[in-house]
Amino acid sequence: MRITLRLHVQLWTCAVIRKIDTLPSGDRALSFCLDVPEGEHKMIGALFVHAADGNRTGPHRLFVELSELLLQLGLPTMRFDFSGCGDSGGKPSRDNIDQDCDDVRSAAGHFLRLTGIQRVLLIGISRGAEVCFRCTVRGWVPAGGMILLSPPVGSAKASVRLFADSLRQYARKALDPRCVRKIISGRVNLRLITLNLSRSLGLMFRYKKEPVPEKAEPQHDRALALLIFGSSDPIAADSLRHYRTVCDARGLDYEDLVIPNANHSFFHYKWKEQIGRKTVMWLHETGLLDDTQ
Amino acid sequence: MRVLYCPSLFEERKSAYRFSYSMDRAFCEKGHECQRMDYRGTGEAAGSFAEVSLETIYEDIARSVQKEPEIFVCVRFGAALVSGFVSTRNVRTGTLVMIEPVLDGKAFLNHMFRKQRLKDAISGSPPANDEGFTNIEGYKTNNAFLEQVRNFDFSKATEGLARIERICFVLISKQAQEDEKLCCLQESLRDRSVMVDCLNLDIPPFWERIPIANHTQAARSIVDLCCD
Repeated sequence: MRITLRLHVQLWTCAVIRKIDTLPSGDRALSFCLDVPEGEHKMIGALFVHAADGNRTGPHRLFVELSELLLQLGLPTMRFDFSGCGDSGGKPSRDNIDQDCDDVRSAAGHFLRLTGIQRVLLIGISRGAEVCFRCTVRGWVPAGGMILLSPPVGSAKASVRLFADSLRQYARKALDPRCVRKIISGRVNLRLITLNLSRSLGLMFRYKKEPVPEKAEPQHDRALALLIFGSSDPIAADSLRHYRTVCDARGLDYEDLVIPNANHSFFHYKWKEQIGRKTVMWLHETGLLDDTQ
Repeated sequence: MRVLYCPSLFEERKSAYRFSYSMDRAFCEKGHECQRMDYRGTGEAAGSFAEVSLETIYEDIARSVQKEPEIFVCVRFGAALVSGFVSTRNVRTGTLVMIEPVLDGKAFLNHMFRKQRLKDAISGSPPANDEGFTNIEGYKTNNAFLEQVRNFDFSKATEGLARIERICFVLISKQAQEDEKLCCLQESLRDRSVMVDCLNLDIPPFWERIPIANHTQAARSIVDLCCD
């Protein structure tokens, strides 16, 4: 097993012990970054789950910044790369969400063993959020809570909205003078555009809905969920409706927040700050930090 | 040999990360030690990006360069940063590999602003920015730093580059392959007795979007070139 040597500038606001290594998941070696506050820490830790084709820093470093906030609250944090992403070996799962669920299960198990924590706070974005939800309801992770950022839903309506939004984005790009030059010179990547559009339509098949059990499994009887969406995300309305329904059906306590104007990946630093503030407030309000020292 | 990999800024760092992994493995296969660094407030490094300036980036590179590496590998704006570092700190190194270098800070920022404007036009943005800061791809960027990037004087950096034994240019986009400024720079370096190599690669721009394809072969060809 090879350990990648990484250099980081250490400017922590609190004392942190960092470990970068790999963990096994099936025949794959997943790279992870574990940060543990020095001295005493909470018995709940945050496990970050990135989106398809992303890596463990999250979009525009969202996970690293959230991790720093949680470390200040005394939570150990682990960020890992899915198979075939970031520094992890193997091939990306593409449309096989079960492989991603296996990776989360392995990462959570390793996280518990390394830190001695008892529960995991799963934080996922986009496809990563869907994976967090599945792992929790299957009872694969002793989840104390979930923060689901822009979880997707596999419905025809959401697919059509996403497809229309993608078309709208390409139309806007086409008006940019540089793009016009690109189109005229034949340097437009048509393959990529086709792939993006087909992926938008494929949303309805990619996230098949799981059957709703009659009642919550005992492993996740305490799980709480915070759902965060951006109002400009074309799938937000359908997705929020879906997750409200499934959380109600499974008896999961949840709270939701829709950030005005924010898009699917929250690409403004103010939206990231808002997510950070809400996360800290929610953790205090739900008592997830109270009995776990 | 010791290799130091210096990434670009903003989301280009994230998109190019898988490529840096391929580079790391390719160097490893040849028995070289590759260290990939992050500047403060970027990647996995601690700190706030809002406090970043060219000086702090040079400090961070200096801190990573405890022992001078024999090879610097830099991507996109990372090339400008390393050039600036080499010039201001009088660093001597054997080989510098510049992958799709961005040497014009103003053009780089214009590209970033254009991308941001497109995103803002589609989804909207929060009310007025904080005084002194601008949102670029989700990064709270201080305007003083943006001004430094905009005014980045590459002609001064060229003096520093002339102290390097060998510079390998790896060009991927047609735009870079046909860039007159880059051609002039290569000529000027040759005139100063720097060994200049150029490798054109036909692969998608991995710094714009996380690559779907596996770039192991491309990474190996870069390593072969600079370890010759």
